[in-house]
Amino acid sequence: MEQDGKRVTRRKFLETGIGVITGAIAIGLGGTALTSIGAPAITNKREGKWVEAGSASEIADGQFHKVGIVYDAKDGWLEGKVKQLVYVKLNGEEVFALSATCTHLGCNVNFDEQTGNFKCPCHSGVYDATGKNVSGPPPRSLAKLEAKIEDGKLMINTAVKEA
Amino acid sequence: MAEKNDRKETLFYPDFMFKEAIAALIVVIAVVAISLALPMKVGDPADPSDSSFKPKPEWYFMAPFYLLKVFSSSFEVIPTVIGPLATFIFLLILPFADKNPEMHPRKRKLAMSLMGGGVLLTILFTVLGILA
Amino acid sequence: MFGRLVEVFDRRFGFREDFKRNVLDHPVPPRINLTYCFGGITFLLYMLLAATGITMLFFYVPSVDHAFVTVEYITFDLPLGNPIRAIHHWSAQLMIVFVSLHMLRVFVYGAYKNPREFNWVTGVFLFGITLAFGFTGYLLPWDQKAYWATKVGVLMPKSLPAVGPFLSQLLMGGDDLGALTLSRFFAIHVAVLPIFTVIFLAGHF
Repeated sequence: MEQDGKRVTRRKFLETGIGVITGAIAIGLGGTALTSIGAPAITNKREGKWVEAGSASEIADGQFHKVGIVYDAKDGWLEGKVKQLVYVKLNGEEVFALSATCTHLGCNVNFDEQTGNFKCPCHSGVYDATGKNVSGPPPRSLAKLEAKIEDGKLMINTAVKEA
Repeated sequence: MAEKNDRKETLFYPDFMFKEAIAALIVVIAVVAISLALPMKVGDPADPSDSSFKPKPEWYFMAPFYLLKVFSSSFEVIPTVIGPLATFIFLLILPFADKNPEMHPRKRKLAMSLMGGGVLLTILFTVLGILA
Repeated sequence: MFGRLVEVFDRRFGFREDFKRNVLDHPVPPRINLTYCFGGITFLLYMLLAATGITMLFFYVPSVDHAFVTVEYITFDLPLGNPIRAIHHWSAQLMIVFVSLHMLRVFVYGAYKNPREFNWVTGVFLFGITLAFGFTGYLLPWDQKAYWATKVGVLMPKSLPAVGPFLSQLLMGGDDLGALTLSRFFAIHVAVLPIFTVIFLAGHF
Protein backbone atom coordinates (compact mmCIF):
# COMPACT_ATOMS: atom_id res chain seq x y z
CA MET A 1 0.00 0.00 0.00
CA GLU A 2 2.78 2.40 0.97
CA GLN A 3 4.58 1.43 -2.22
CA ASP A 4 1.55 2.43 -4.24
CA GLY A 5 1.41 5.78 -2.46
CA LYS A 6 5.01 6.51 -3.36
CA ARG A 7 4.34 5.54 -6.94
CA VAL A 8 1.44 7.95 -7.14
CA THR A 9 3.47 10.89 -5.80
CA ARG A 10 6.33 10.09 -8.16
CA ARG A 11 3.95 10.02 -11.09
CA LYS A 12 2.39 13.25 -9.88
CA PHE A 13 5.83 14.86 -9.63
CA LEU A 14 6.82 13.83 -13.14
CA GLU A 15 3.52 14.98 -14.60
CA THR A 16 3.78 18.35 -12.87
CA GLY A 17 7.36 18.73 -14.10
CA ILE A 18 6.34 18.02 -17.69
CA GLY A 19 3.44 20.46 -17.40
CA VAL A 20 5.57 23.25 -15.92
CA ILE A 21 8.38 22.90 -18.46
CA THR A 22 6.20 22.65 -21.58
CA GLY A 23 4.02 25.44 -20.21
CA ALA A 24 7.01 27.70 -19.62
CA ILE A 25 8.38 27.06 -23.12
CA ALA A 26 4.99 27.66 -24.72
CA ILE A 27 4.37 30.87 -22.76
CA GLY A 28 7.86 32.21 -23.47
CA LEU A 29 7.59 31.46 -27.16
CA GLY A 30 4.02 32.68 -27.49
CA GLY A 31 4.79 35.83 -25.52
CA THR A 32 7.76 36.67 -27.73
CA ALA A 33 5.75 36.08 -30.90
CA LEU A 34 2.76 38.11 -29.70
CA THR A 35 5.01 40.98 -28.57
CA SER A 36 6.47 41.26 -32.05
CA ILE A 37 3.12 40.95 -33.76
CA GLY A 38 1.50 43.44 -31.39
CA ALA A 39 4.30 46.00 -31.25
CA PRO A 40 3.50 47.84 -34.52
CA ALA A 41 0.13 48.79 -33.03
CA ILE A 42 2.11 51.17 -30.83
CA THR A 43 5.27 51.87 -32.81
CA ASN A 44 3.91 52.26 -36.34
CA LYS A 45 2.75 55.90 -36.05
CA ARG A 46 2.46 58.33 -38.89
CA GLU A 47 4.21 61.62 -38.21
CA GLY A 48 2.83 64.95 -39.36
CA LYS A 49 4.72 66.90 -41.97
CA TRP A 50 4.19 69.89 -44.21
CA VAL A 51 3.20 68.87 -47.72
CA GLU A 52 2.82 71.01 -50.81
CA ALA A 53 -0.71 70.70 -52.17
CA GLY A 54 -0.76 72.81 -55.33
CA SER A 55 -0.72 76.54 -55.91
CA ALA A 56 -2.64 79.10 -53.86
CA SER A 57 -4.41 80.52 -56.90
CA GLU A 58 -6.44 77.31 -57.27
CA ILE A 59 -8.37 78.04 -54.08
CA ALA A 60 -8.56 81.83 -54.50
CA ASP A 61 -12.36 81.76 -55.04
CA GLY A 62 -13.16 81.17 -51.37
CA GLN A 63 -15.00 77.88 -52.02
CA PHE A 64 -14.23 74.43 -50.68
CA HIS A 65 -11.81 72.48 -52.83
CA LYS A 66 -11.09 68.82 -52.76
CA VAL A 67 -7.32 68.30 -52.57
CA GLY A 68 -5.67 64.90 -52.80
CA ILE A 69 -2.25 65.12 -51.21
CA VAL A 70 0.50 62.60 -51.89
CA TYR A 71 3.63 62.46 -49.79
CA ASP A 72 6.48 60.21 -48.70
CA ALA A 73 5.93 58.45 -45.41
CA LYS A 74 7.15 55.44 -43.52
CA ASP A 75 4.61 52.69 -43.00
CA GLY A 76 6.22 49.72 -41.30
CA TRP A 77 8.86 48.45 -43.70
CA LEU A 78 7.46 50.52 -46.58
CA GLU A 79 8.93 53.91 -47.30
CA GLY A 80 6.79 55.21 -50.06
CA LYS A 81 3.89 57.33 -51.21
CA VAL A 82 0.89 57.79 -48.98
CA LYS A 83 -2.33 59.46 -50.13
CA GLN A 84 -4.82 61.49 -48.16
CA LEU A 85 -7.92 63.58 -49.02
CA VAL A 86 -8.39 67.10 -47.62
CA TYR A 87 -11.00 69.87 -48.12
CA VAL A 88 -9.47 73.34 -48.31
CA LYS A 89 -11.04 76.79 -48.37
CA LEU A 90 -9.58 80.29 -48.32
CA ASN A 91 -11.01 82.51 -45.55
CA GLY A 92 -9.48 85.90 -46.35
CA GLU A 93 -5.80 85.42 -45.49
CA GLU A 94 -6.36 82.22 -43.56
CA VAL A 95 -6.55 78.76 -45.07
CA PHE A 96 -9.16 76.49 -43.57
CA ALA A 97 -8.45 72.75 -44.04
CA LEU A 98 -10.56 69.75 -43.01
CA SER A 99 -9.64 66.11 -43.16
CA ALA A 100 -12.13 64.24 -45.35
CA THR A 101 -12.08 61.25 -43.00
CA CYS A 102 -15.49 60.72 -41.41
CA THR A 103 -15.18 60.48 -37.62
CA HIS A 104 -17.68 57.62 -37.57
CA LEU A 105 -15.95 54.76 -39.37
CA GLY A 106 -13.37 56.41 -41.58
CA CYS A 107 -15.00 56.78 -45.02
CA ASN A 108 -14.16 59.90 -47.06
CA VAL A 109 -16.94 62.51 -46.93
CA ASN A 110 -18.21 64.44 -49.98
CA PHE A 111 -18.91 68.16 -50.15
CA ASP A 112 -22.45 68.94 -51.28
CA GLU A 113 -22.39 72.32 -53.03
CA GLN A 114 -26.19 72.80 -52.84
CA THR A 115 -26.53 72.48 -49.08
CA GLY A 116 -22.99 73.51 -48.24
CA ASN A 117 -22.63 70.41 -46.06
CA PHE A 118 -20.34 67.44 -45.99
CA LYS A 119 -22.05 64.09 -46.38
CA CYS A 120 -20.64 60.70 -45.61
CA PRO A 121 -21.61 58.11 -48.26
CA CYS A 122 -21.37 55.23 -45.82
CA HIS A 123 -23.95 55.91 -43.09
CA SER A 124 -25.36 59.31 -44.06
CA GLY A 125 -23.49 61.34 -41.48
CA VAL A 126 -23.69 65.10 -42.12
CA TYR A 127 -21.25 67.87 -41.15
CA ASP A 128 -21.75 71.59 -41.73
CA ALA A 129 -19.31 73.86 -43.52
CA THR A 130 -17.24 74.36 -40.37
CA GLY A 131 -16.84 70.58 -40.08
CA LYS A 132 -19.19 70.25 -37.12
CA ASN A 133 -21.21 67.03 -37.01
CA VAL A 134 -24.88 68.00 -37.35
CA SER A 135 -26.71 64.72 -37.97
CA GLY A 136 -26.26 60.98 -38.33
CA PRO A 137 -23.86 58.72 -36.49
CA PRO A 138 -20.59 60.76 -36.46
CA PRO A 139 -19.48 61.35 -32.85
CA ARG A 140 -17.18 64.32 -33.51
CA SER A 141 -16.45 67.15 -35.93
CA LEU A 142 -14.18 66.54 -38.91
CA ALA A 143 -10.52 66.92 -37.96
CA LYS A 144 -8.96 70.30 -38.72
CA LEU A 145 -5.55 70.43 -40.32
CA GLU A 146 -2.93 73.16 -40.25
CA ALA A 147 -2.62 74.88 -43.61
CA LYS A 148 -0.94 78.02 -44.95
CA ILE A 149 0.11 79.81 -48.09
CA GLU A 150 3.82 80.19 -48.62
CA ASP A 151 5.36 81.79 -51.74
CA GLY A 152 2.09 81.29 -53.57
CA LYS A 153 1.93 77.62 -52.70
CA LEU A 154 -0.67 75.88 -50.61
CA MET A 155 0.93 73.96 -47.76
CA ILE A 156 -0.87 71.44 -45.56
CA ASN A 157 0.35 69.74 -42.41
CA THR A 158 -0.69 66.10 -42.35
CA ALA A 159 -0.88 66.01 -38.53
CA VAL A 160 -4.34 66.57 -37.07
CA LYS A 161 -4.47 70.02 -35.43
CA GLU A 162 -7.65 69.59 -33.50
CA ALA A 163 -9.63 66.39 -33.28
CA MET B 1 3.48 -6.98 -8.45
CA ALA B 2 7.15 -6.15 -8.75
CA GLU B 3 7.14 -7.15 -12.39
CA LYS B 4 4.20 -4.90 -13.11
CA ASN B 5 5.95 -1.97 -11.46
CA ASP B 6 9.08 -2.52 -13.49
CA ARG B 7 7.12 -2.48 -16.68
CA LYS B 8 5.27 0.62 -15.70
CA GLU B 9 8.49 2.44 -15.08
CA THR B 10 9.58 2.11 -18.68
CA LEU B 11 6.51 3.57 -20.35
CA PHE B 12 6.85 6.64 -22.52
CA TYR B 13 4.64 8.72 -20.25
CA PRO B 14 5.49 10.10 -17.80
CA ASP B 15 9.01 8.79 -17.14
CA PHE B 16 10.65 9.22 -20.51
CA MET B 17 8.58 12.29 -21.31
CA PHE B 18 9.99 13.93 -18.18
CA LYS B 19 13.55 13.39 -19.40
CA GLU B 20 12.54 14.74 -22.80
CA ALA B 21 11.10 17.82 -21.11
CA ILE B 22 14.37 18.45 -19.26
CA ALA B 23 16.34 18.01 -22.50
CA ALA B 24 13.89 20.34 -24.27
CA LEU B 25 14.38 23.01 -21.64
CA ILE B 26 18.17 22.81 -22.01
CA VAL B 27 17.94 23.05 -25.80
CA VAL B 28 15.54 26.02 -25.68
CA ILE B 29 17.84 27.87 -23.27
CA ALA B 30 20.81 27.09 -25.53
CA VAL B 31 19.03 28.27 -28.69
CA VAL B 32 17.89 31.50 -27.04
CA ALA B 33 21.40 32.10 -25.65
CA ILE B 34 23.02 31.58 -29.07
CA SER B 35 20.37 33.79 -30.69
CA LEU B 36 21.03 36.64 -28.28
CA ALA B 37 24.80 36.25 -28.43
CA LEU B 38 24.91 36.12 -32.22
CA PRO B 39 22.23 38.49 -33.52
CA MET B 40 21.23 38.27 -37.17
CA LYS B 41 22.63 40.60 -39.79
CA VAL B 42 21.64 41.16 -43.38
CA GLY B 43 23.93 40.89 -46.38
CA ASP B 44 23.70 42.94 -49.54
CA PRO B 45 20.57 42.74 -51.68
CA ALA B 46 20.66 40.10 -54.43
CA ASP B 47 22.37 41.46 -57.53
CA PRO B 48 22.29 39.22 -60.62
CA SER B 49 24.75 41.56 -62.40
CA ASP B 50 27.46 41.11 -59.78
CA SER B 51 30.40 38.81 -60.47
CA SER B 52 32.40 39.25 -57.29
CA PHE B 53 30.22 37.14 -55.04
CA LYS B 54 31.43 33.65 -54.24
CA PRO B 55 28.44 31.39 -53.68
CA LYS B 56 28.49 29.21 -50.63
CA PRO B 57 25.67 26.88 -49.65
CA GLU B 58 24.60 26.02 -46.13
CA TRP B 59 27.09 23.70 -44.48
CA TYR B 60 24.75 20.71 -44.84
CA PHE B 61 24.76 21.03 -48.63
CA MET B 62 28.53 21.44 -48.71
CA ALA B 63 29.39 17.82 -49.60
CA PRO B 64 27.75 17.72 -53.08
CA PHE B 65 28.82 21.33 -53.64
CA TYR B 66 32.43 20.37 -52.98
CA LEU B 67 32.24 17.29 -55.22
CA LEU B 68 31.14 19.51 -58.10
CA LYS B 69 34.68 20.86 -58.18
CA VAL B 70 36.18 17.38 -58.12
CA PHE B 71 34.21 15.78 -60.94
CA SER B 72 34.75 16.94 -64.50
CA SER B 73 31.70 18.34 -66.21
CA SER B 74 30.83 15.13 -68.06
CA PHE B 75 30.54 13.27 -64.73
CA GLU B 76 28.89 16.18 -62.95
CA VAL B 77 25.67 14.25 -62.71
CA ILE B 78 27.26 12.00 -60.04
CA PRO B 79 27.41 14.57 -57.23
CA THR B 80 24.41 16.59 -58.38
CA VAL B 81 21.80 13.90 -58.91
CA ILE B 82 23.02 10.34 -58.65
CA GLY B 83 24.77 10.71 -55.28
CA PRO B 84 21.93 12.36 -53.37
CA LEU B 85 19.32 10.15 -55.05
CA ALA B 86 21.27 6.95 -54.32
CA THR B 87 21.69 7.97 -50.68
CA PHE B 88 17.97 8.61 -50.37
CA ILE B 89 17.02 5.28 -51.95
CA PHE B 90 19.60 3.41 -49.87
CA LEU B 91 18.09 4.87 -46.70
CA LEU B 92 14.53 4.15 -47.83
CA ILE B 93 15.07 0.46 -48.57
CA LEU B 94 17.44 -0.11 -45.66
CA PRO B 95 14.95 -1.85 -43.31
CA PHE B 96 13.85 -4.19 -46.12
CA ALA B 97 17.31 -4.91 -47.53
CA ASP B 98 18.87 -5.53 -44.12
CA LYS B 99 17.43 -8.93 -43.18
CA ASN B 100 19.95 -9.49 -40.40
CA PRO B 101 17.83 -9.96 -37.26
CA GLU B 102 20.64 -8.87 -34.94
CA MET B 103 20.19 -5.52 -33.19
CA HIS B 104 23.58 -5.06 -31.56
CA PRO B 105 25.97 -2.93 -33.67
CA ARG B 106 28.90 -5.39 -33.17
CA LYS B 107 26.92 -8.18 -34.78
CA ARG B 108 26.05 -6.12 -37.87
CA LYS B 109 29.46 -5.64 -39.42
CA LEU B 110 28.32 -5.06 -43.00
CA ALA B 111 25.55 -2.56 -42.20
CA MET B 112 27.71 -0.71 -39.70
CA SER B 113 30.69 -0.40 -42.03
CA LEU B 114 28.52 0.74 -44.96
CA MET B 115 26.84 3.42 -42.87
CA GLY B 116 30.06 4.35 -41.11
CA GLY B 117 31.84 4.75 -44.44
CA GLY B 118 29.03 6.90 -45.83
CA VAL B 119 28.98 9.14 -42.80
CA LEU B 120 32.76 9.54 -42.76
CA LEU B 121 32.85 10.42 -46.48
CA THR B 122 30.06 12.96 -46.03
CA ILE B 123 31.89 14.56 -43.11
CA LEU B 124 35.16 14.55 -45.08
CA PHE B 125 33.65 16.25 -48.14
CA THR B 126 31.82 18.74 -45.94
CA VAL B 127 35.03 19.71 -44.13
CA LEU B 128 36.98 19.91 -47.41
CA GLY B 129 34.24 22.09 -48.87
CA ILE B 130 34.26 24.45 -45.91
CA LEU B 131 38.05 24.72 -45.96
CA ALA B 132 38.20 25.26 -49.73
CA MET C 1 -14.00 23.14 -20.17
CA PHE C 2 -11.14 21.83 -22.26
CA GLY C 3 -11.53 18.39 -20.70
CA ARG C 4 -15.21 18.45 -21.63
CA LEU C 5 -14.35 19.29 -25.23
CA VAL C 6 -11.81 16.47 -25.38
CA GLU C 7 -14.45 14.10 -24.04
CA VAL C 8 -16.99 15.08 -26.71
CA PHE C 9 -14.46 14.51 -29.47
CA ASP C 10 -13.30 11.29 -27.87
CA ARG C 11 -16.82 9.89 -27.80
CA ARG C 12 -17.14 10.66 -31.50
CA PHE C 13 -13.69 9.56 -32.69
CA GLY C 14 -12.30 7.48 -29.84
CA PHE C 15 -8.78 8.82 -30.27
CA ARG C 16 -7.92 8.87 -26.59
CA GLU C 17 -7.49 5.12 -26.29
CA ASP C 18 -5.34 5.03 -29.43
CA PHE C 19 -3.25 7.95 -28.28
CA LYS C 20 -2.75 6.36 -24.86
CA ARG C 21 -1.84 2.98 -26.29
CA ASN C 22 0.38 4.17 -29.14
CA VAL C 23 2.05 7.22 -27.70
CA LEU C 24 1.77 7.53 -23.92
CA ASP C 25 2.00 3.86 -22.93
CA HIS C 26 4.45 3.06 -25.68
CA PRO C 27 7.14 0.98 -23.94
CA VAL C 28 10.64 2.40 -23.81
CA PRO C 29 13.66 0.10 -23.67
CA PRO C 30 14.63 -0.49 -20.04
CA ARG C 31 18.11 1.00 -20.35
CA ILE C 32 17.78 4.28 -22.15
CA ASN C 33 20.40 7.02 -22.40
CA LEU C 34 20.76 10.55 -23.60
CA THR C 35 20.74 9.60 -27.27
CA TYR C 36 17.06 8.64 -27.05
CA CYS C 37 16.21 12.34 -26.65
CA PHE C 38 17.37 13.33 -30.14
CA GLY C 39 14.02 12.71 -31.81
CA GLY C 40 12.13 14.67 -29.19
CA ILE C 41 14.59 17.54 -29.46
CA THR C 42 14.12 17.57 -33.23
CA PHE C 43 10.37 17.88 -32.72
CA LEU C 44 10.90 20.69 -30.22
CA LEU C 45 13.12 22.54 -32.70
CA TYR C 46 10.42 22.13 -35.33
CA MET C 47 7.96 23.77 -32.92
CA LEU C 48 10.38 26.68 -32.36
CA LEU C 49 10.72 27.03 -36.14
CA ALA C 50 6.96 27.01 -36.63
CA ALA C 51 6.33 29.66 -33.96
CA THR C 52 9.09 32.01 -35.13
CA GLY C 53 8.26 31.34 -38.79
CA ILE C 54 4.60 32.20 -38.36
CA THR C 55 5.59 35.40 -36.54
CA MET C 56 7.84 36.44 -39.44
CA LEU C 57 4.99 35.71 -41.87
CA PHE C 58 3.25 38.75 -40.39
CA PHE C 59 6.01 40.95 -41.79
CA TYR C 60 7.86 39.21 -44.60
CA VAL C 61 6.82 39.86 -48.21
CA PRO C 62 7.94 37.29 -50.82
CA SER C 63 8.61 39.64 -53.69
CA VAL C 64 11.94 40.54 -55.25
CA ASP C 65 11.21 44.20 -54.55
CA HIS C 66 10.28 43.77 -50.92
CA ALA C 67 11.82 40.57 -49.54
CA PHE C 68 15.13 42.19 -48.62
CA VAL C 69 13.49 45.32 -47.16
CA THR C 70 11.08 43.32 -45.03
CA VAL C 71 13.90 41.11 -43.73
CA GLU C 72 15.82 44.28 -42.85
CA TYR C 73 12.72 45.55 -41.07
CA ILE C 74 12.40 42.30 -39.07
CA THR C 75 16.12 42.31 -38.27
CA PHE C 76 16.60 45.93 -37.22
CA ASP C 77 13.27 47.70 -36.60
CA LEU C 78 10.75 45.22 -35.31
CA PRO C 79 10.69 44.82 -31.50
CA LEU C 80 12.08 41.33 -30.72
CA GLY C 81 12.41 40.81 -34.48
CA ASN C 82 16.11 40.04 -34.32
CA PRO C 83 15.85 37.32 -31.64
CA ILE C 84 12.90 35.80 -33.51
CA ARG C 85 14.83 35.60 -36.76
CA ALA C 86 17.92 34.38 -34.90
CA ILE C 87 15.96 31.63 -33.13
CA HIS C 88 14.56 30.59 -36.52
CA HIS C 89 18.06 30.48 -38.00
CA TRP C 90 19.78 28.65 -35.15
CA SER C 91 16.93 26.20 -34.61
CA ALA C 92 17.17 25.32 -38.29
CA GLN C 93 20.90 24.64 -38.00
CA LEU C 94 20.41 22.55 -34.87
CA MET C 95 17.49 20.69 -36.41
CA ILE C 96 19.73 19.36 -39.19
CA VAL C 97 22.22 18.27 -36.54
CA PHE C 98 19.63 16.54 -34.37
CA VAL C 99 17.81 14.88 -37.27
CA SER C 100 21.13 13.38 -38.34
CA LEU C 101 22.03 12.31 -34.81
CA HIS C 102 18.56 10.81 -34.32
CA MET C 103 18.89 8.82 -37.54
CA LEU C 104 22.35 7.61 -36.62
CA ARG C 105 21.16 6.55 -33.16
CA VAL C 106 18.27 4.59 -34.65
CA PHE C 107 20.65 3.00 -37.14
CA VAL C 108 23.31 2.02 -34.61
CA TYR C 109 20.73 0.46 -32.28
CA GLY C 110 19.15 -1.41 -35.19
CA ALA C 111 15.85 0.19 -34.27
CA TYR C 112 14.72 0.51 -37.90
CA LYS C 113 14.14 -3.24 -38.13
CA ASN C 114 10.90 -5.16 -38.06
CA PRO C 115 8.38 -4.15 -36.73
CA ARG C 116 9.47 -0.54 -36.98
CA GLU C 117 10.36 -0.29 -40.70
CA PHE C 118 7.52 2.13 -41.25
CA ASN C 119 8.87 4.55 -38.64
CA TRP C 120 12.22 4.50 -40.44
CA VAL C 121 10.72 5.09 -43.89
CA THR C 122 8.60 8.04 -42.73
CA GLY C 123 11.70 9.26 -40.93
CA VAL C 124 13.75 9.21 -44.15
CA PHE C 125 11.05 11.31 -45.82
CA LEU C 126 11.08 13.71 -42.87
CA PHE C 127 14.87 13.99 -43.25
CA GLY C 128 14.38 14.92 -46.91
CA ILE C 129 11.69 17.43 -45.96
CA THR C 130 14.03 19.01 -43.43
CA LEU C 131 16.71 19.48 -46.10
CA ALA C 132 14.09 20.93 -48.46
CA PHE C 133 13.09 23.38 -45.72
CA GLY C 134 16.71 24.45 -45.47
CA PHE C 135 17.13 24.83 -49.23
CA THR C 136 13.94 26.85 -49.81
CA GLY C 137 14.34 28.96 -46.67
CA TYR C 138 17.86 30.00 -47.61
CA LEU C 139 16.60 31.97 -50.64
CA LEU C 140 13.91 33.98 -48.84
CA PRO C 141 16.04 36.89 -47.50
CA TRP C 142 16.94 37.59 -51.15
CA ASP C 143 20.47 38.73 -50.38
CA GLN C 144 23.62 37.96 -52.35
CA LYS C 145 24.37 34.82 -50.36
CA ALA C 146 20.84 33.52 -50.88
CA TYR C 147 20.71 34.35 -54.57
CA TRP C 148 24.01 32.81 -55.63
CA ALA C 149 23.86 29.69 -53.47
CA THR C 150 20.34 28.96 -54.71
CA LYS C 151 21.40 29.59 -58.28
CA VAL C 152 24.01 26.82 -58.00
CA GLY C 153 21.44 24.59 -56.30
CA VAL C 154 18.66 24.94 -58.86
CA LEU C 155 21.03 24.44 -61.78
CA MET C 156 22.42 21.20 -60.35
CA PRO C 157 19.74 18.91 -61.86
CA LYS C 158 20.62 20.33 -65.29
CA SER C 159 23.46 17.85 -65.56
CA LEU C 160 20.94 15.01 -65.69
CA PRO C 161 20.47 13.89 -69.31
CA ALA C 162 17.14 14.56 -71.08
CA VAL C 163 14.88 15.79 -68.25
CA GLY C 164 17.60 17.72 -66.37
CA PRO C 165 17.20 21.15 -67.96
CA PHE C 166 13.46 20.98 -67.58
CA LEU C 167 13.80 20.10 -63.90
CA SER C 168 15.92 23.20 -63.37
CA GLN C 169 13.37 25.36 -65.17
CA LEU C 170 10.66 23.84 -63.05
CA LEU C 171 12.52 24.71 -59.86
CA MET C 172 13.07 28.29 -61.04
CA GLY C 173 9.70 28.80 -62.68
CA GLY C 174 11.36 29.87 -65.91
CA ASP C 175 14.76 30.43 -67.44
CA ASP C 176 16.10 32.53 -64.64
CA LEU C 177 16.19 32.78 -60.89
CA GLY C 178 13.72 35.58 -60.23
CA ALA C 179 10.30 36.68 -59.07
CA LEU C 180 8.61 33.35 -59.72
CA THR C 181 11.43 31.39 -58.08
CA LEU C 182 11.05 33.41 -54.89
CA SER C 183 7.26 32.95 -54.91
CA ARG C 184 7.42 29.20 -55.34
CA PHE C 185 10.20 28.71 -52.82
CA PHE C 186 8.14 30.74 -50.36
CA ALA C 187 4.99 28.71 -51.02
CA ILE C 188 6.90 25.45 -50.63
CA HIS C 189 8.64 26.66 -47.47
CA VAL C 190 5.61 27.97 -45.58
CA ALA C 191 2.76 25.78 -46.87
CA VAL C 192 3.71 22.64 -48.79
CA LEU C 193 6.52 21.38 -46.55
CA PRO C 194 4.70 22.04 -43.24
CA ILE C 195 1.69 20.04 -44.49
CA PHE C 196 3.88 17.10 -45.54
CA THR C 197 5.74 17.31 -42.25
CA VAL C 198 2.50 16.91 -40.31
CA ILE C 199 1.40 13.98 -42.48
CA PHE C 200 4.70 12.10 -42.15
CA LEU C 201 5.04 13.00 -38.49
CA ALA C 202 1.63 11.45 -37.76
CA GLY C 203 2.94 8.21 -39.23
CA HIS C 204 6.32 8.56 -37.57
CA PHE C 205 5.32 8.62 -33.88
